Amino acid sequence: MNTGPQRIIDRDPVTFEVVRSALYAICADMKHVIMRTSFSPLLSLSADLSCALLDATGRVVGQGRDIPVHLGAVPFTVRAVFEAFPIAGWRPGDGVIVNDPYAGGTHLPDVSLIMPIFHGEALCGFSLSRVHWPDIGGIAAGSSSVCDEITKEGLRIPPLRIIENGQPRQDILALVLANVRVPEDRYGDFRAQIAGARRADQRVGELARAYGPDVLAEIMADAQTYTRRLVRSRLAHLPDADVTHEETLDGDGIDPYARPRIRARIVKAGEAITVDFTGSSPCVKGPVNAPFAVTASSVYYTLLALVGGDVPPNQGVYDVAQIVAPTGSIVNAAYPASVVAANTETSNRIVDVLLAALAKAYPERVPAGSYGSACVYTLGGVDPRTASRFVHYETVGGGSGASRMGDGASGIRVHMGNTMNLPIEAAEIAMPIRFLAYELVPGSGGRGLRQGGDGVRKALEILTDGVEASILGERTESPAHGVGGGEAGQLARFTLRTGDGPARTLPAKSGPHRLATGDRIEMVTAGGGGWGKRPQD
Amino acid sequence: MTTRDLVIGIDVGGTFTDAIVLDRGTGTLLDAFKVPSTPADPSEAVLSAIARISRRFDIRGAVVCHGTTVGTNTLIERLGARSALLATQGFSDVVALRRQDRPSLYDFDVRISEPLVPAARRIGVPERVAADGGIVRALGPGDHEAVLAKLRAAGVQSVAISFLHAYANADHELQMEAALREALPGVYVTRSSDVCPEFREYERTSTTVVNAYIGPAVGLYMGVLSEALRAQGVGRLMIVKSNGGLTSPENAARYPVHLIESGPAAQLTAAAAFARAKRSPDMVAFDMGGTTAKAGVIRTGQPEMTTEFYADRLVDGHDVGGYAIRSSVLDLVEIGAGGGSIAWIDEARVLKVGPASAGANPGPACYGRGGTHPTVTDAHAVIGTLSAELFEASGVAFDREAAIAAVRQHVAEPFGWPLARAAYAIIDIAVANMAEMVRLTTTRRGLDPRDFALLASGGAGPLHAAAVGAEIGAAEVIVPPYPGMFSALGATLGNVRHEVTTTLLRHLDELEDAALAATFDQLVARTDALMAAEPQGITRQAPVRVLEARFSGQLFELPVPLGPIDTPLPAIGEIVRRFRDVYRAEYGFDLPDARVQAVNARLIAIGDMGHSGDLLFSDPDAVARDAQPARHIDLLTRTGETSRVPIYRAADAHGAALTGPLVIEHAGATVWVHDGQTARIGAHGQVNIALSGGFR
Repeated sequence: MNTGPQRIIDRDPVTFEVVRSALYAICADMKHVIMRTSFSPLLSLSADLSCALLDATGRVVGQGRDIPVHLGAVPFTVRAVFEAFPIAGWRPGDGVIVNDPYAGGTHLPDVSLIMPIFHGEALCGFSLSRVHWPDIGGIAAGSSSVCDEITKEGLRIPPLRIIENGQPRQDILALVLANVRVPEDRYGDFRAQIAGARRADQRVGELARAYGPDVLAEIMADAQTYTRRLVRSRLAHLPDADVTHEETLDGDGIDPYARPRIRARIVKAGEAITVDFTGSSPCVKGPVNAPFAVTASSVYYTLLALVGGDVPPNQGVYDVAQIVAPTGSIVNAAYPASVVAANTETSNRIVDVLLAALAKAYPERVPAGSYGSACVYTLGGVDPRTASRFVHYETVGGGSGASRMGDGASGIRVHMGNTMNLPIEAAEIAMPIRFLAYELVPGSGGRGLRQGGDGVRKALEILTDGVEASILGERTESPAHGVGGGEAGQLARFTLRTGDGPARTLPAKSGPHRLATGDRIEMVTAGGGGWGKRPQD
Repeated sequence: MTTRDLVIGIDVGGTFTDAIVLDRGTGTLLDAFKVPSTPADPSEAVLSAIARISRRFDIRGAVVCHGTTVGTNTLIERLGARSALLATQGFSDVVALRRQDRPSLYDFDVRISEPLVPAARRIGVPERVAADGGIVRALGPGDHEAVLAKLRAAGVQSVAISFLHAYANADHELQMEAALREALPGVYVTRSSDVCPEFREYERTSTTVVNAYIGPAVGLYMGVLSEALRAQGVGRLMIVKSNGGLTSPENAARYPVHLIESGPAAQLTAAAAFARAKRSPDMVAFDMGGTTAKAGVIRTGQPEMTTEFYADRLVDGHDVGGYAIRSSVLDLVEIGAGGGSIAWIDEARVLKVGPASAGANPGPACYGRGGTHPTVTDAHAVIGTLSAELFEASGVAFDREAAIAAVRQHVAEPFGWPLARAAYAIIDIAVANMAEMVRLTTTRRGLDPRDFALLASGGAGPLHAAAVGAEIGAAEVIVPPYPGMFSALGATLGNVRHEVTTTLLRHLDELEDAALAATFDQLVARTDALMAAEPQGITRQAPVRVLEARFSGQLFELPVPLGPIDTPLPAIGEIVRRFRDVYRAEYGFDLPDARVQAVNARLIAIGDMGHSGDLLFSDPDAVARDAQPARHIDLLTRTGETSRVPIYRAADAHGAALTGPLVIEHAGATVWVHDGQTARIGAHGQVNIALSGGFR
């Protein structure tokens, strides 16, 4: 390691630790402000947003305990933004907005805002918030349906300087708001992002004043050194491995025969780790194609959890993993492939593929497969009680995989996402729907020495006509794998009953469906895999 | 024996049960002492403290104010009742599904608090109420019978009833409650529309389930203690609630979930009473003990309140989610860091302090009970701020050499540092952790710490307060008299306080003035019923109305005060204007086009116990005079030299103004005043530290 004693982490580890911790606390502060002032239940109640701090060169130095798929993609967002707006040109009060998955974004609903933080004339760094707007236009309310190209998925925003001298540019804002549903609420969410950036600006400014901008810059650099040291030292303690695994996704929602393959070879040698996705399928028509930033997020998540979960995430870990993913494949989408479901479905399945591979080398350290999904459903229409439009974007938890340490958790968000549910009561107050069930599916987790977590059954009835609905799920065909003799979890199942007809089974991804009063949707998410052989009865 | 109007404060902690005796008439503190706690039956220590008091004072007619952890411990140690949950069919797993998020992020071993009611005793009831309170599926008499059969078969001791939208229409819950009370006498029954009539099914149900789980144990404790105290001639027993208010044992047994934060709440009540007595209404209360530290904000003489928290969230330093509880609670931030927190070096060679703690056993190395890991307390022993003299009273055999060995072996030698640097490094990290905790109560809430004085209590609070205060830029640090007895003092300084709410979820511009007035009238009927169960002789103040409102579309509400019930209810337009003022003050901007929605109506009823801290905390400026140090010590400085530093005894130094570095011994606690800081000692032993100097 080329870390001489002149570095602040070694010279003054106490000041280093004090300020490094503050960088993470500031990200939590930003999130708090955004949740409190936003207009979407998805943000204020479900917390579908993430915050990060970057140093003056745009490298991640701190991040919140937020959404892994948002956070792992930040380095790619930053790179695209600085290609459009080189660092030297940033002035106090600038702000750049971006959501383009082909320019460092994840999927179109995730809208990022980057603002610089100055101390006097000196650039100290940047704040970044990535916020899931419940709608960003496209063919169906909620902007999470099944399309065959990204242009249909919604408004694509390349990096644009939407704030100048601290003031939003009304022309750009008007263009954005003209292309989304319920624009008043989206404007409120945008305001909340600015409020979050202000809080970051204020608190990083305080650090710069207290410690001096040079010391702050040193600490930001060494925060990455610190994380890199932790990750490398823990990797060094693991035996080397060269393992490969592949699985197929359960369809793409368009081509009934599409079963795109995810193949991953993991080579761990000493302090280095490489993940090579060569052999994965080319892009498909439906929205399961993962932009490289999403694939990288899944690798980063898996690496961080593998080395222990207590390592503060930042660019230091992101630099350790080498990732190879062929351009134009399911794990490195190329324009104009549609991508919206990769964020929630493909990303989680990539993690499960990586876990299955790692289980071949480290069965004691990794859990079995999970429900491998966020199970996103969207509803949109007009509420007859208020004659106003509504958009509902929601996820459903499922089973997580068991591990040597214990049973898998039931009915929970796994891996790449971690948003809360919208309470049943809050949803029924706000929209013309009534839930019929929201409960666990007992015994749906795979059996084993440790049980896989159980999946969830959520069913609802539509109370008005003209509602659009889409469902993006996984594991209707391929169950969550067990480890070391543990059994696989039960499958997911999605059904729709329209009118008086029989309930019909839907594919893993479907929509937009056009629903009327009395129509019913039932979603059953998969159970997690078991771990270890059950003791003989 | 003297006859006085006595108020006795009792706080039960993990190690000690603290007791104070106040003369209500003169505000004089007559006695303050600690007895060992009796965890198996906490009432034993309480009664032995009372017995000790009764040997010196005539306790007939005395009021005993009691902060209790019996409900909290029942929950944390999973010693609660065999409970059942009755929930709307299809939704009975609500306490297992929670809010579906996981408490730890990059983690292959996610652990989540187990539901207090297992699946087998979560019973779905065929009923359904809609969001507007309309009945979708009526509850029939046959349904009662089926439920009763299941409950009998399960042999339950308590039942929580929580149906969807019961905040909007409680009929089904009421019917079920009546059926259960008739058919299952002796079973503790509680319903969500009584305990927490607010929307959001997980939070409401979780609150109700905790109430059912700890209800029988708390009820038993209240019964036993009331009876025993009555036998000793005590006038009445009052229990401290999570909101710092007092309540009768009967109300406490009905709403035990409102007692979960009883002990910490009393401490913040004392801080608020202190702030009011000082006419210095804005303070941050900072408490640091052996294993935890807490902070809370006092604004305009009142502790900040919040309406929701998660109980039992941290297990061995890991976030496991905990149990959501919606109840009015003093807004405290707590971290698992204290004098016993252990310093260690991680594999990237960075010094960490905590979350592991040496606890009470073996304790820090300097306690000489076999501890070998360096703690924050050991760092002080090395520096010299804690010394053998201080420990004599508590019977600890102070061993500085053991502290030096621990700091040297685990911190100084691995880093190649001098001993002094290692010891100060441990304290610097601990102080930074404390400062971040204080920021959570101030900066996180949009408050500027520079506008606040830091009020230090707890065993280790005064030792660190001057450094923490300097780190956050506080205006001043104050160490009150009796910093180690703050919770027991606070128990006696509360008033009877009941808060009731109802969910409105209506746009304000659609709401009629008369309808809002009628809503508050219904709440008055509820607080009247609660007050009827309180003892006679308290002075009831007119209940105060609060409307919790938000911009339509947002999900977090802010409280808008609407004045006491005997003043006219402001017109709707005025309420909207006040909301916008509150919003602007909180977030710095207004949203002129957005509509304002009323979420909950809240009524706060207060019965004045007539106990004020004004006399107790009065601290007339002492006549300025010089003071002589009790002795000197050789303090180890940051740079490794020794510096001869005076130690003053606060009791012998009233009126003195002293410039640091120095140490003040003060009612069992130690105050460390740093270089350049000035300490003023008042006539009753209060210490004020001006923070012109710094620590780091």
